[in-house]
Amino acid sequence: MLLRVLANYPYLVAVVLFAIGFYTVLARSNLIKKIIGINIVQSATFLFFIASGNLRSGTPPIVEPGVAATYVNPLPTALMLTGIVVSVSVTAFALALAVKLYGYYGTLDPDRIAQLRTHRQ
Amino acid sequence: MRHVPALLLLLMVAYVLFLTMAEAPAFGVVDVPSRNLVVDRYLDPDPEETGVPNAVARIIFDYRAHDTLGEATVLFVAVGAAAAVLVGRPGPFATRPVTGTDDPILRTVARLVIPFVQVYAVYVITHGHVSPGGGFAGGTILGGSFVLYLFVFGPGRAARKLSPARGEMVEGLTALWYILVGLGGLLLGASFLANAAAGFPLGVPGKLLSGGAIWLIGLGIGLKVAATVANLFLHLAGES
Repeated sequence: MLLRVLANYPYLVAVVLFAIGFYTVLARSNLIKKIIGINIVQSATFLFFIASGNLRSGTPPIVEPGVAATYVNPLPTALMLTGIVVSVSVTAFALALAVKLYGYYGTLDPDRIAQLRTHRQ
Repeated sequence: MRHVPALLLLLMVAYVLFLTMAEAPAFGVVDVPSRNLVVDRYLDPDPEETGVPNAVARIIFDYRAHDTLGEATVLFVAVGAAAAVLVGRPGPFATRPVTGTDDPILRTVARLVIPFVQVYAVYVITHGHVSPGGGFAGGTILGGSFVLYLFVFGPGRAARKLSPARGEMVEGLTALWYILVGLGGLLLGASFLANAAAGFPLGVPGKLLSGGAIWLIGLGIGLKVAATVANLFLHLAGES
């Protein structure tokens, strides 16, 4: 099993990246760091998908007629384009919320913001 | 102490992922389940169906053009949502995050680099169907040149080059362009967003002016992504 895992090392890197991002989202109290964590998780997903379509001796999927070549799988790459667009959109919206929250509360710690909100009422 | 539940949850998730990965198909070989008939169709060496050699461009602008229209909508909504959140009173603690710089080195380098970045972006957008790249990649580079301008010369001067209102206009018009090209397929007697089936001239595969609807949509997407990136940074820099 260990040999199998080592032969699939891109997947291992993806899992490690996912764990790093997941821990960042859970454990950090700064909202910007949470957003960075979400981005790391998303990068792990992209890496996993693109690695699943890769070939060790493959060429990029620019098909030339009459040339016998093994092309890498273009489908995960095309799908990850959607993933990247969603990732950019989520990051932008989350950053906008963080900017606005900081403007009103002067902190990016969600616990502190919750405290300030209960005091204000 | 408060990190213990997070660590436990993390260990559980990582363990499940690790087990799944150990059972995953081998990396980097042709013989994997995800490589099936569909992929062979996408990699058809004779591009009579789409007229372009780039298999990724075939997928995103032809076979799955509906998906890409959805992506364009997602970007549109993201800019709208970010602008809606950031509009209005900035609040008592608000700071201006980006002010530009007086550093002569940065200003000179930016002034020299930006034209080359933009020429490269136009190349990547217009050659997306025959080489790696395309509307999304090239549009991001074009938007990146604007972001460099914004960080060096400040959001005020950047907004004079491309105001948020004009950026929104470019975004809306390019989204409309995408839909119009799709409706063109309908008008020519095929389905929405049809390319070769609707009789768009495909040209000679591998030449610059080829690919019919793929090339037209790629141009629009390039401009749209550039406007999106520029607008997002303008809004986040407090210029709305």
